[in-house]
Parts: sequence; structure tokens; C-alpha cells
Amino acid sequence: MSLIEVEALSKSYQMGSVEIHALRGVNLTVERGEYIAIMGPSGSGKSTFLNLLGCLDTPTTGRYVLNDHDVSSMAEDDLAQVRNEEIGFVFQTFNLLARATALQNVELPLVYAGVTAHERQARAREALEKVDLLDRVMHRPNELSGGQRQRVAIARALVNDPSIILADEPTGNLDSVAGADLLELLDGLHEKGHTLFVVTHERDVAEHARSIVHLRDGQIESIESR
Amino acid sequence: MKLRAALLREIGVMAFETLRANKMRSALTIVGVVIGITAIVGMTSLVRGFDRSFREMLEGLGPNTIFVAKFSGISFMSGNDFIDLIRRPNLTPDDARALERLESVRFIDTMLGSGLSNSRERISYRGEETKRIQILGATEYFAQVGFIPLEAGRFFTAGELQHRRAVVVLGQTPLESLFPFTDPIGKKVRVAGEQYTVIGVMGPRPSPGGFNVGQDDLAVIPYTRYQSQFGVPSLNWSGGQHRDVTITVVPRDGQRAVALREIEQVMRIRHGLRLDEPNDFDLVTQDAVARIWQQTTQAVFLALVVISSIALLVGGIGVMAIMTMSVTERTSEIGLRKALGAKPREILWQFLVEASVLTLAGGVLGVLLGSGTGLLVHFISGFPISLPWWSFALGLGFSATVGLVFGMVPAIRASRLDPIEALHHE
Repeated sequence: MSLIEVEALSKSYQMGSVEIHALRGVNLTVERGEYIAIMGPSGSGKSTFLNLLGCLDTPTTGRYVLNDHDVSSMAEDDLAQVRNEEIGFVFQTFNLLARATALQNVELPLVYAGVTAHERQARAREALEKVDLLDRVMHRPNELSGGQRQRVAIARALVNDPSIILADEPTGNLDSVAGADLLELLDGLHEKGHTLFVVTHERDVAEHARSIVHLRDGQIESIESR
Repeated sequence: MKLRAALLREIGVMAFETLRANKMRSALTIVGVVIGITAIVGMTSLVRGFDRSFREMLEGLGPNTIFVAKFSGISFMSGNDFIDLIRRPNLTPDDARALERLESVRFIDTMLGSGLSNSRERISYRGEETKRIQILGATEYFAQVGFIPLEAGRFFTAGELQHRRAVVVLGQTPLESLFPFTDPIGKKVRVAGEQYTVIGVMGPRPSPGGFNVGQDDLAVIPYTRYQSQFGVPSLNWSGGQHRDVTITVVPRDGQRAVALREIEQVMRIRHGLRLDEPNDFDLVTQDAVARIWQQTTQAVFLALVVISSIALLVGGIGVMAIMTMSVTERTSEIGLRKALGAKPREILWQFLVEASVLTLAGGVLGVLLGSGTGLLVHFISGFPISLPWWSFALGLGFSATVGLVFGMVPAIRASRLDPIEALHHE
């Protein structure tokens, strides 16, 4: 059984009187430990695909099995639980809670997993150690650089030990130095066996991945293995 | 609704932090709640305190004492017209003498000069003069019936009553103004010009609320003497002549019901009432007064609840407005929480708890301000207060409920946000 099995996945939206087919019949199988980049021009359906992979949305038709969970037709509460246990998100805009410290931000997924406060702290510290931020544990986001903020976000994505990490334009808000550092960090995670998806429109970001999925008009145009 | 206890605790902590981060806004939001709860707790303490001291005073009358009156608050409560009441036959000292013979009666007091037409006179001693005070004509049982302790000397006797002796028992007010330093017993004073001998002094009398309402501005003389000096005071009112005679009966132990029945029979016979005619006099007992009092305090409480509810409603609307703003401001945070695995009901509870922590803080403040107001009034004016624990519980319960109820709509909105849209909200 593969980690991810996507079969004939489609998603359409109703925009006023027009029906938009954002995704039309995508098939993809992903094994544990792969590093995949998703590329495509805007409107190609890469955001929709990412939302479906991240269980933030359900497909109109088709099937999506993640780590033995058939998530294609799950109810909202079950989807929330799958997101909590199986998926680590990294966003372009970091999405950290401004009022909370780095540690509290990293603890957040564990709060919804029902982990005790003591264990939460220990695991959050462990995750921050992996991104080399142990010296910034009690800092709030506005006291951190962009690169550091994104590393806090990665620690938050790692803390629940998820099956997959989904990064949506993770370097989009970083300067080139911080961006390069971050990509190095992602490479390191891949080497340790994490499964990564990176959505990007930058070729040199995508080239860090082992395979690049090109989307166009809601379909997979080609898969480039490297 | 199942919610993990650890998460609830976490939500509570988060709520506190949010409020701490928005002190000014939170403070303004809860003003209405604070006012409402202050009103509830403060007014409860005052009303309850007054109520308690009134009941104590009532109990001072004795549970068995029966007042025979031409009319009373009870006849007003049962919808009688004032004109009809004033036209009822007057009670007389002879009525009292007739009732005195009843088996069930232990002793009886006749009082002249109390009530509507009370005349106020001055007492003088060696050039010193009191203000106008109430002069009561009574029997030798006056002090026993009213449970009034004697501070010095004695009360007059049946013999002195019968022989219309010019003897007087002073209340605290004339005592203080005429005999601040000397022993009054045996001294000759003038009551409205006529000479009396002081034979006794009454102790302070209880009053509702512990206020000085002139309850000690009095002197008591034998009612026979009163009749010959002042006559029976009367009041003319649209064709009815009203004379104030109050008869107080203390029945023998365990004979109250019998006494009530017998007094009613005797009075009906004396007034020549036919079987189908209603009583034209009132028999007032402590429990009857207590019932009327209870109805009054209940009405006050009801008014209090209505006023507080309006304040709480205003406070609640403020909470709703602020929570709606908060949800809008924190849309992307809600999206993030959902992405990280928060279930809709967990988001719902987060905002509900936040709203009720907010209003509960207002409630705590209101309880403190309300009981503080009560205590302040008590220390400044001596007004009796009572701070029952249930008024605190009520205040806190109400304030938390306001948060839950008015936080519901914004919280439901937050819980239903689409995670994708919310995440990308700026």
C-alpha cells in the first residue's frame, strides 16, 4: 500500500452561473519518503490540488487515500483529525500567532491532539531543536527574522510527526539567503525520511525535489523525475 | 458535546491571554455587565438587609399578638375604598373592656394617640422643653404587649390607670433632652401644660432599618388620664369621624386561634353586624403583616431584576459586537487553527469561553463593586445590609450566561468559517 493514492480526482466550483473545473481527473501515487514539487501557472489547479491533499477540502469526484484513510468523503470532524495527525502545513505567510511565543506556536497542533501540557512542551522543544531555534523558544514572531519565522512554522509542521509535509510557496516571502537556508532545511528533512510536497512557481525551488509534477488546466501534464 | 478537559483548560488560558492583550477594549465591553451585576448585588444587599431588620422588628411584636384595628394595610390590600374604611365604626376603650373578659385573652392594651390623628405635644421640666413628641395613652400592659424593656423605674399600675393618675413613662428622646445628667424618677414635668410625675423610662425601641424614624419620640400616660386631658383624638374625613383607638391583645399560650375567633365574634356582636355582612374591623397578626411585607419585597425584587436585565442586555449586545469584531479580525487565525486540526466545536467553544471569561470578569467586578457599595452605605448611614452568598453566585452565573448567550452568534460564525478562505484572509 502506497502512502498516497489519488485516483481520478476532480474538483469543480460554482462561480455564479459558471461552473469552474479546477481539477479534472488527477491520478498520482506517492510512496513514503518522496520529495515532490508541484508546479504550474496560475489557474492550473495547483492550489486546489494542495487543498485536497491537505484535507482542507473534499473532491467533487474521485478517490484520495492517505496512509490508509479514505479521506475523499470524510465528515468535517474526521477531516480535522486527519489534518491534525497526518499533515504538517507550511504557508507562504508563515501564519504564526502574533501573541504567542515560538514554543506556544509549535505546541498548537498538540493542543488539538489532546497532549498534556508537559509533554507538549517537551515535544515542541524537540521540534524547535530540529530547525535549530532552541535559542529563540520564548521569542514572539515580531522578534524573529523572516527565515526564523518560517523555521518556527516548519517546527510546528513537524511536531505532530505527520505522514506528509505540505509547503505552499515556503520561500515566497523570504530573501534569497533565508530562502536558500530554508530549502537546505527541507532537504535535510527529506534525508531523514519525511515525505514532502512543495508547491512553487520557481524552477530552482522545485529542483530541490526528487520529482516535479507539472499541472496545467487541472490535469497532470507531466511528471519529471530527477 | 464531548470536549477534552485539557483542551478546555487550554481554551481558558487562551481566552485570558486574548483579554489581557486587549485590556482597554475588554474593559469598555464589560461596562454594561459590570453595571448590571453591581445593581443586582448591591441592591440585593440593601433590600435583603432592610427586609431582615424589618422582620426582626416584626418578630419583636410577638408571634401571637393580635391587633384589633378599625382598618389597616390589610383592608387596603383587599381593595376597600378609603372612604368606606373611614366610615367604619370607631373602636372604643369599651370594646377593649369587653374583650378583656374573654377566657383566651391573657392581657390587653388600649392605645390612644397613635395612628393617623396622633397629636404631638411638648413636655417641659424647669424651663427645658422637648420638641413635639407623641403622647400615648395606654394601659398598664403597654410595655409587655410591645415587648418594650424598661430602663429605669416602673410602669403604671392598674390602680393608677383606674384613678387617672398623672404619671408618665418617658421614651429615650424626652429623657435625653430633659434629664441628660439627672435621675428623672420622681421628678415633676409638664405634659402639654399639666403636671405629671415621671415614674419610669423606656429603653430604645426597634425600628425598621435601624433608622431613627422617631420611634423613641414618645411618652406614655394612662389612657384614662389621656381621655380627660385630650379627649379621644379624632379626625374628620368626608363625612366620617375617625378616632384612633388601637387595641392590642396577647392571647394565652396556645390560644391564638381561639382568641381570634372569639374577638371576631364579640366585635361583630358589638357592631351589630348581620350574618351576611362582612367584618367592619381588622384583626392584624404578625404573620398577616409579614405576608404583606413579603409581597412588597417581592415586587421590589422583581423591579430590580427588570432593571438589571436591561443593563445586562446592553452589556450583552456590547459583548456580541466585540466578539463579532474579534472573529473578523482573527479570521486567518481561525483558518490556521482549523488547518492544524481544530474541530468546528472546538473553535465554537474557544469563542464562547472567551466571551464568558470577558463577562465573568465583569461579573467579578460587579460583585466587588456591589458588595462594596452595600458596605459603604452600611458604614456611612448604618443602613442594615445582608450579603448572601447566593447573590454572588447569581451575579457570576448571570454574567457568564450573558457571555454564552451573546457570544453564541459570533462563535457559531467562527466555527463555520471555511478553512481555505479563512487562511488566506488578510
